[in-house]
Amino acid sequence: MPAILEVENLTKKYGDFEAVKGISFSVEEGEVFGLLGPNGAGKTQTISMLTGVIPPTSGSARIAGHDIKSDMNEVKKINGLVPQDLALYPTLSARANLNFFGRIYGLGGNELKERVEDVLRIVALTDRADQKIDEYSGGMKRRVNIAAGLVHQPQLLFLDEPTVGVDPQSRNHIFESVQRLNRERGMSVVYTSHYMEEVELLCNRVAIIDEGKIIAMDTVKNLIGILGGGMIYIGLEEVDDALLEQLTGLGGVKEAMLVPPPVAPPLAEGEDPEKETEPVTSNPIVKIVAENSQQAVVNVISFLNDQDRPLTSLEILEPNLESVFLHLTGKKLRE
Amino acid sequence: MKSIYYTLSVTGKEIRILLADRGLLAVLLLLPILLGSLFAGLNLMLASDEGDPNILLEVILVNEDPGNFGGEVAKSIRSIDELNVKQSSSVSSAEQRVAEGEVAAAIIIPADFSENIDSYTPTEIEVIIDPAQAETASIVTGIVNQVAGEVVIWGEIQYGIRTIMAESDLLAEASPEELRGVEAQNLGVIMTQLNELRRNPAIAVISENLEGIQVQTGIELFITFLFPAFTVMFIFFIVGAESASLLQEREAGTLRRLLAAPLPRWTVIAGKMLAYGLLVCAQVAILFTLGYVAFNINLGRDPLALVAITLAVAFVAVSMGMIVAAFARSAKQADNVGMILAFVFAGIGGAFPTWPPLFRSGGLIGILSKFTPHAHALEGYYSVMAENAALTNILPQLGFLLLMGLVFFLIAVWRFKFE
Ligand SMILES: Nc1ncnc2c1ncn2[C@@H]1O[C@H](COP(=O)(O)OP(=O)(O)O)[C@@H](O)[C@H]1O
Ligand SMILES: [Mg+2]
Repeated sequence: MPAILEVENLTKKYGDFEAVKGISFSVEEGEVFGLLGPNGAGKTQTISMLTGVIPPTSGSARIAGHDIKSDMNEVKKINGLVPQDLALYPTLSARANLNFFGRIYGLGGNELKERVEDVLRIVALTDRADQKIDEYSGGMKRRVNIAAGLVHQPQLLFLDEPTVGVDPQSRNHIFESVQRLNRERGMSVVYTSHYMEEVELLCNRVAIIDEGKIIAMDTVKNLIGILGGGMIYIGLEEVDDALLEQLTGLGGVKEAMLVPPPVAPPLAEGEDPEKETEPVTSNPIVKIVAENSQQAVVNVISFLNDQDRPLTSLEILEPNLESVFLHLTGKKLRE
Repeated sequence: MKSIYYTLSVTGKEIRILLADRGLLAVLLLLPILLGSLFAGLNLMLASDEGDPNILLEVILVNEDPGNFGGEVAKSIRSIDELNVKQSSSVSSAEQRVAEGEVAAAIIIPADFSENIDSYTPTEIEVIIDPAQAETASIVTGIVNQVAGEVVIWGEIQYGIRTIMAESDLLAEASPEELRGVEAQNLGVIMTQLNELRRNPAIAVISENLEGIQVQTGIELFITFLFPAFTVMFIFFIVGAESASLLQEREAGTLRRLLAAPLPRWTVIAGKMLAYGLLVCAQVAILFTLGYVAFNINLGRDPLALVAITLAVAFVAVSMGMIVAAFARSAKQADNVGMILAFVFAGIGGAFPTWPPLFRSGGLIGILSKFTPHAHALEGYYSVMAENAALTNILPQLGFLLLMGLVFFLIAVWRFKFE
């Protein structure tokens, strides 16, 4: 399959601040590609450069063979953008909004009419199309927001966090629409989110992005495979290299490593610096990447029992993208 | 040709949004119609009262309001020559004196008048009239409406200034006393103009100028000036609305969609300007038609000149909207700045209908007025309508307006940030 989107070393700078630090990836025709990362990671900035909303500082990208620098006008016809905000005119009806967002792609007459009816059907709002956006529920607004990016039949759809603030029912409806657009109409999709469940459900491949950089990129299956059978965090009174080696040798364990001690949190305002606070690094924590988490837990616990080393804490994490993100960055995706 | 389609699409969308905004349409169309009719009607009524333009009406005034606004209204009512004002502190005794026919009307300023204006709650001054003197009493009602109108405008300006000061970080450090000082200073500038208008009620000034001229001519001239004056004043109220609507698009993210679509950026601006330009043309058409039908104002001999000056003033107004959008930080701020500019320029430019027109006065005020688009627009309209000037006679005014509009427009395009 040829690539519909190839991004090479894309950068966006604001003064000294680098919002996007040289991102490269490609999306194949017919693929649903995920950009997963916490707030402020640079997802919206990346999409904005690829859709012509802002110019890149450096780097390049090609969309269906057209360069975004020299051939933006062609690129714009191929792209569809669903912005993160509800980008609609609240005092106009859904139909009036969609008509307008079709016209700015040069559509008119019967063609426009048919296209608007079609996208209303896709988001299941035909019945209420003449109501003002103001009078819609949050979920319905989100659906119109998506419809507005579809009127001109884009080949490559950028969905920027399309489910923020949406009830579960509308959310499922949005997922189904995206899947249908992809399967039935062959639309390629770039889907950004900070919800790993969404990305796991919808995307073939995922780029995990943090602080303007891609830190991992693969199929969802392979990414989760980094963790094998999941992760186990155990607290111990003391840890040495020999112990880590022994733990790594146990059945079901892939790797055992010491978690770097967390940075002490800044003192709250007005707090007495002399005051005896709870020691931040009470006990060292060992992270165990498991091949098979059940087997690993049993073996680790009986090994520590035999050694007479008491456990101070135990946490077992499922193998999912959330744990992968934690594994790669030491941070949680969402606070 | 595609660009024309894009521009018109933006214009069409903008017009739909405008038509859905009843509040804005009321301010831009209804308010000038009401004010124009009231001013014109009141002056005609007073002028037609032959022989003695300074009719004396006995009224009784009860001011129950402890605040500033009530005192301000009371002061203005007392200063009106046509009224012989008696003071009373009791509503019931005032009512009785009206009932007994001792006075034509009682004007009652309610206790919560200032409080309501300050808190932006609608409020009313009550006028109790003697049914036997209905005609004269309606004059009192008219005068009171006018005076109260000014005070409400005052409240609104004060509100606007306050919001702007609250929003800008400039005065974040200032103490409440300092804030009040700045507020009062701003207010002072605007109120000077309004007070000027009040102290020289047009009718009084005209009757002074009447020696040797027929009464009808004087008042007709004034009314032929009054309609374009109100029109020009209210044209510039679109500045706040237009700039806020553009910034609103940036804040809501619809601008982002437009930037991702193949329409050129300038068509977004041009489409919006065209929509608001059409709104200005509608304002002018409606107000001049009203003036012509109801008050028989002169429209002059050169319709083309009227069209030209209207297009020129529309261009300045919509460009001014864009320059405000380019410099304001938020839609809300743009709206407030637009409103204040509209008031201040109307004051300096002579769009509050005082007589003789400000653009014909010399001195510092006359010179100052020449820096506003209002003065040139008004001079253009007045020359064409009252003095039968032709298109060629108003070229200087047209040139000034177009140049000013062009400068605003270029700066706006240069400075406006799309994201
Ligand atoms: N106009 C701007 N000027 C400076 N910094 C910006 C601007 N827009 C975004 N940023 C910064 O760029 C980073 C990435 O933002 P964004 O792409 O919106 O993140 P997200 O992954 O949540 O979509 C953030 O730190 C944000 O504060
Ligand atoms: Mg974002």
